[in-house]
Amino acid sequence: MTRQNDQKGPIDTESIENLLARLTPAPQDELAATISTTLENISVQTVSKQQRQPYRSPTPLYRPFIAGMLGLVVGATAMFLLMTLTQFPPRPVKTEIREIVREVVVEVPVSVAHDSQPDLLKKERIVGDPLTSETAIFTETPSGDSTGLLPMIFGLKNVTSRPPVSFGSFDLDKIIDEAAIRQNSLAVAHPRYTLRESVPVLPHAEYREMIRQVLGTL
Amino acid sequence: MKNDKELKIKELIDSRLAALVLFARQWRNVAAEDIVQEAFVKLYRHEPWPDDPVAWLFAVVRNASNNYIRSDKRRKRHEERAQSARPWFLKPENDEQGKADDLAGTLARELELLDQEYREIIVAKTWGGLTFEQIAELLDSSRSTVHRKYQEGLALLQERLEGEI
Repeated sequence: MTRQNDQKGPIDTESIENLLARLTPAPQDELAATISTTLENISVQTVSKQQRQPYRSPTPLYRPFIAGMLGLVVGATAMFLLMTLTQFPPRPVKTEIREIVREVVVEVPVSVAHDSQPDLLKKERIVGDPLTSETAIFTETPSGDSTGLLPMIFGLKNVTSRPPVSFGSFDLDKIIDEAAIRQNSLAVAHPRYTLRESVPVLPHAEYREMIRQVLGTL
Repeated sequence: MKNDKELKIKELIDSRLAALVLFARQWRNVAAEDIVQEAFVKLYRHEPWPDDPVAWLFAVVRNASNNYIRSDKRRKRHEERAQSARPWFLKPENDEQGKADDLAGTLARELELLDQEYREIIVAKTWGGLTFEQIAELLDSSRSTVHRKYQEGLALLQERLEGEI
């Protein structure tokens, strides 16, 4: 603006302001009348709305009934809870210390000659309980057949896997021997049978030692 | 009109209506009168009464004009009717030398051709009677920016008017 003020021209910005002030916006008398009429109409409508009694729908009869029923339900529930809590205090939690049964499983994939599914993988499990020193042996198959090899050896049939059958104190060495013999003989008889890595086909002595090491953790 | 609010609106109509219509026309808006009327109706219904009703009206008119002009259909209709647009100003009166008529008329035409960023400030200041603070709030800008643009607008008008002479 310094430039304009310094100019010696015939018109400066102050003159522009004065000239602008001389300009009168076009009058809007018609519009003013229209707006006034519009606002008066709005005012009349507002007043008539205020004078009119608002319609209030009558309260349906079922509402108090529902409210009463809800009140009864809530009250009865509260009374029941109150009486229950006062008359039957919570029982003390029974502390039961249970020794976690360590379960050592020796998986022996076997198949028996009479089995209708020779390729069916069976799993012999030798389970030891450190508290009772009891050892249970049972057989699991994917089909639920629980007739195990080792129980058969000892003349026990129809041994179910649940619950495990406890043999009590018995000669574990004998069981291991029989299992190892059975394992090796099956491997020979069924060369296409894929044995698990955990129970490789081993010479009798080695196999027996391996099971011993596992059971030694009991 | 009976109550206090209606009296205030009546005063605003008497004093600011022409300036508000002129302000609305900055957007080349054929619906300027409708927009201003709607602004007054909004003011009538507005609760509570605004602290600065003049600035409030200008803000409402500005927002409504911006919204109106954004519509493509309305813009086309505007272009069709632009030729029949009403004059922004009354014909200026002559002074003793009879020169003011020409100058002011030229200035009015140049004002219409001025960029809107300058023109709306000049209109709001000169005929709306708004202060620079009020205009800054209206445009969501700073007072110094508004003042600078006002001066720049005047300088542009000055240059163009000198070119016409």
